[in-house]
This record gives sequence, C-alpha cells and structure tokens, in this order.
Amino acid sequence: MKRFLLLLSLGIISISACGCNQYITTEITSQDGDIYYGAYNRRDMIHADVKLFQKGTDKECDGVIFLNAPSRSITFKNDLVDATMILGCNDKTIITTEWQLKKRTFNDGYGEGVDQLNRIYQFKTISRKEFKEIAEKQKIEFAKDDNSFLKY
Amino acid sequence: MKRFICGVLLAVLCFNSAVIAKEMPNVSASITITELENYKHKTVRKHYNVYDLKLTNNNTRAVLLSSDTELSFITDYDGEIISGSRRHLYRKSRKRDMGRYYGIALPGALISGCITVGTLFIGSPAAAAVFAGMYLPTDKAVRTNVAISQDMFNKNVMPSRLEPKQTYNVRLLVPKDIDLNEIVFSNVSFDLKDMYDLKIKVEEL
Repeated sequence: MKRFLLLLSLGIISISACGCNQYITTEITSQDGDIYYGAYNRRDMIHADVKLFQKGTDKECDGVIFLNAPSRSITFKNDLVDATMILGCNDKTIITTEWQLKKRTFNDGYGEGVDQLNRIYQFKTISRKEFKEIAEKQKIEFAKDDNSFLKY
Repeated sequence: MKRFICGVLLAVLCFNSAVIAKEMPNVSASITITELENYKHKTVRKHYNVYDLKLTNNNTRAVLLSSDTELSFITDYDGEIISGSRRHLYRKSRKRDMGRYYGIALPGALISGCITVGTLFIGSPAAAAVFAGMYLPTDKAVRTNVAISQDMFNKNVMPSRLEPKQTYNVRLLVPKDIDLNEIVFSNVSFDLKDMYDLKIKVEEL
C-alpha cells in the first residue's frame, strides 16, 4: 500500500513538472519577417503566464493570457472562445492579442495580435515536437511579478 | 573646488532635460470613484479602491504607452507609491478556484461511489454533498474571477495606443487608505523615443 502511494505521488509530481501546457509560435508576416516562439502555463481556470522569444534576436516578452468565457460544463467543450493576451517586451513594445482557444482545455487555437506601432502578429498553437524544431531556448522560465517586462 | 562646483552645475544644466521627465502635452482626463452598485467584487474591494478614469488624447498624433510605463500614485503623506502590475493586482484579488475543497470532495466521492453500488439511497445524498462542497464554490469562484479579469484586462484596460481625439475609459485599482493627490503614467511617448510623464491631478475626492 505504502509503495503504491509513493508511486502514485511520484507519478503526479512528474506529470505536473514536465513541460508547459501549450507551445505557441507566429506565422511569418510581411512586416516583421521573424518568427516568435514561446509557451504558456496555466495558473488557474482562466489565466496563464506566457513567455515569448524572437528567433535570432535578444527580444523577449512576457505577460498573461486570459480566457474570457471558460466553461466547466461537459457539453460544447470543444467550442472556441475569446481569450486576451497582453505581453510586454524588452524593446518597449506591448503586444495585445485576441485569441480563439478551446473552452475547456485552454489550448488548440489561433490569434492575431497588434502592438502600439500597429504591427500585426499571427499566432497559432503548436505541439511540443514542433516547438522543439523551432525553439533555440528549449527551457522556458516564466517571469515573476518583480522581473516581468509588463510593468503595468 | 570652485571649478568642480562649476562643473557640477554645468552638468546639471546640460542634463537637466534628461533627468527630469517632460510632461505629456494635450491629454485631458477626469477621474471618479466607482460606486458600490457598479463594482461589487468583494475580493477586490478588500484591498483596493476602484477609480474610473476618462482619458482624452487632444493631440494630432497617437500617444503610445511602452512596456516601461509604470503607474504611480502621488500622495500627501506617503510620497510616491508605485502600483503593482495588472497581473499582480489580479493575483492578489482573485478568488482561489483550483484545488478548492478537494480535501472534502475526494474522500466524499470515494465513499459515495462505493455506497452507490450498494444502495442508491445513501449514495445520492453523498454525491449531492460532493456537488455542494466542491463544484458549487469552485464554479462561483471561476465566475467571479472571469468578471474581475474582464474588468481588468478586456473592457477597461489601459490601451497601449491612444488614438487622437478619442476618449478611453480606464479602470484603476488604487490601494486603500491613501490620500491620493496625483496619478502619473511614466514613459509615455509619441514615437517610443522621447519619453514623457502623463500626469493626472485628482481633485476633491
């Protein structure tokens, strides 16, 4: 019994400690030819922490993503609902993105973002395998409140 | 010594503009405290007073906020208080929704599951207890958090770009028990290069 409980708790810890909830990337847009990649980690039913990197440069962003209409019902769980993502970057830009994400699981969607200079970013969610092919930094650490780029 | 003092004075004169931020021109604002009828979330009111800000950009160019923009409150007695980020405000004031009452619910579910096999009559009240102990409070907390986050991140958020001749409604959460005098948005600009301070006077509240 003791051994079973130990195995169970070890299993739960390993599941919760491995990887992020969802990996994201941007499509190549005409204005900004670079690709962004990142991930978000869910913190409660409606909000998640996000980290985003630009491929080939030092630019990095972090912030939050919020699901506007989460649902705990069993029906319509695969419907797409709105989510808002606000990211602050180390080159002073703020990217505000409107996502369409799955209601229950908080993943599998797409989004379009815009920054203060009206540059457009097209986001989509990707699998861990695709992320590993794109990403330069494989390990992602999420910012705490005091070292976040999003000051307000 | 004289030369040194002259040097310091000269340096202060030269770099004066760099040290003291200029004030953002032609942005008008009015501010009101939100009444209880319009904002009911107790978890937020426990820590913060809710202010409604109306911002109008009277310039011909758009005013841009940057990720360095910080919101600070100038008070009579305490000096300057820098506001936490929206993320911080939300975390502090939300209701906990994950892992709520799981201590009651998991053994409850186990017992009710076992009993339901035997007798339906004892099983269903136990399942009802699980529903009341775990599902309802979590559901309520989730709904409250959605309303709080909508208010903070979706409807009344400080926009990153203030278009000319447009008015924006912004909701601010100001810490309780301070005498608010002035609200300052630092590092606001027209082109992300020359940074200004956006100062808003708070009168007779």
